[in-house]
Amino acid sequence: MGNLPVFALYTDPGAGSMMLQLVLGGLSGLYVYFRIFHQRARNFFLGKPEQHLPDANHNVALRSGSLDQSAKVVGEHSSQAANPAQKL
Amino acid sequence: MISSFDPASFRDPAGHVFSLQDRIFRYVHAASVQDWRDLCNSGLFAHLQEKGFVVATREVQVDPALDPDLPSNSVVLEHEKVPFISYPYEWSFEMLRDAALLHLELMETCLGKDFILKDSSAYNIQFIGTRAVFIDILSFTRPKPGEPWLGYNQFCKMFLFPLMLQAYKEVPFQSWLRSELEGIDPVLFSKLMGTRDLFRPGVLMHVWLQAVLQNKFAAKKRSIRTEIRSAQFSKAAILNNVRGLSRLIRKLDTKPPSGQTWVNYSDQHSYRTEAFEKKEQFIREAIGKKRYRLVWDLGCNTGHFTELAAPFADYLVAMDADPFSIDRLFSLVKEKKIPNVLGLVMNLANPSPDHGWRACERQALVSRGRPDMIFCLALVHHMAITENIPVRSFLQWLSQLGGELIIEFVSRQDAMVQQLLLNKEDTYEDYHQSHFESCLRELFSIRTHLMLPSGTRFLYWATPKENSVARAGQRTQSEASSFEIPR
Repeated sequence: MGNLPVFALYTDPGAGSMMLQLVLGGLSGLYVYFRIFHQRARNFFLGKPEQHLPDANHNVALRSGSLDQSAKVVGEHSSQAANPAQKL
Repeated sequence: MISSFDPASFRDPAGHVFSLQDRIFRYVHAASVQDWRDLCNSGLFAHLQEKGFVVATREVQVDPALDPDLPSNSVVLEHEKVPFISYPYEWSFEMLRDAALLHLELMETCLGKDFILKDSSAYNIQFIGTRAVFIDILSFTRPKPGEPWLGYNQFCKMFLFPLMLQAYKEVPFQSWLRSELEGIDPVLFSKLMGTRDLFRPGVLMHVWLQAVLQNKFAAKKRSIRTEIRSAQFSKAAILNNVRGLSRLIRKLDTKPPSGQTWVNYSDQHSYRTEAFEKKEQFIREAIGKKRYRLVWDLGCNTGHFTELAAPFADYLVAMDADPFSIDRLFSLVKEKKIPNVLGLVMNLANPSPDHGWRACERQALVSRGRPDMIFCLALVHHMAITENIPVRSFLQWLSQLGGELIIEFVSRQDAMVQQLLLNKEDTYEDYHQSHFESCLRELFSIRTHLMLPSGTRFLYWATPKENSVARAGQRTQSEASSFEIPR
């Protein structure tokens, strides 16, 4: 699937709600919680900048309709339809 | 030209719903076609359809001559038409609970097949009778590695908090959801929770802590989503949350406040069994002559007469302002496995309007399908005396709906009417049988009528007169523009 913008999130997941899921996820969530703080500490000492959402531009592209590249790739998949479509 | 895009289908750029020749289609955006193919190839979609969890869907080709505007490389799906669209603010507690549990079950099934639902809108679910079905096929997608459940916040706002509001605070959620289409905000909801509520299941974590964290992280400049993704949030953690929510929602309970609802009305109504049997017989004879496409039972209580009519109609929508009556109806109909009855919480003095974005995102009640038969049993006195709606105005509204009508007039001598008038100033000069009949004859042709043995209740079976719809529309307009509403 590469970098296809297939995950077009149009709702705000809420930063606080995402953090809460670390608690609600049980031990697996807590493990992620400690990993985040480990990463932050590591980035601080290595002097790395804070991370930004990598697919924000994809979402904008979806809304503005500039999807030529992805449409081309998806088009190849489209020709391999699993079920032959019925004619209307 | 596409015949009509669904005006509610604009938020998700993955595709759009449109109707053509009274059939429902969904155009899948090129960028989302891969998700659709994956969903089919994984066998997940077939499994969900088999279980009846998702609306029946098939892929079709639309003839370009029919719709030259449809983009090339597009995939078009045809969905089974839902007989009558309903919205979460018209559902009862049990209906919203069923919808929430369906959503969670879909999440759990999806995660097992490496899929996820990308949002958690309650508007993605519709009811076909008492069966909740998921309709937004483009919500299924592959999860991004390491990401948490991005629809969790929306799930709380649209499902969990409204259910908690009724279960914990005994406040019906329908009015709130009707005005806040995106649901109940965690920060706002947390303000309703007292110290004692923090000990109720789910409140500390899902409400209080979520509100605290929402406030804390609202102004942060760093991307929490990216951080969590880098730290590799696991599917097991999402499943933990989903299963916990499912257990919590199953345990929520609600009971009607004593003396305020109509749930026990069928046990308490004032007329004798003989009269009740005559009423049943009148209705059975009226509706048994032909098959009706859509029946509306207005003021249905727990749906006794809706059930009676179910074998004679394709679909029945039963409405009552009391959410507990609709809850009872929903449970009864589900238990009896009657497939064609939908119950809706609806205050007929203030029925659901067109609203949302550009006032066309969510449709008004009357825009979603007109009935060819209307039941209006033991309702007129409530509209006239409780809601102060003039008898003529109410009958005009009924005639505008365009269907046949079975209506019951409860006279002033009846105990129920006397109870309504007990503490009110009697300004209801129009509430007399002679005035009611005169208005009814003006707008409808009365086919047959019956006085029930109690002598205080009268049944009428009427069909709307030609052009009465247009006339009623004109008069309603002139009445609305006048300061004096004639009684």
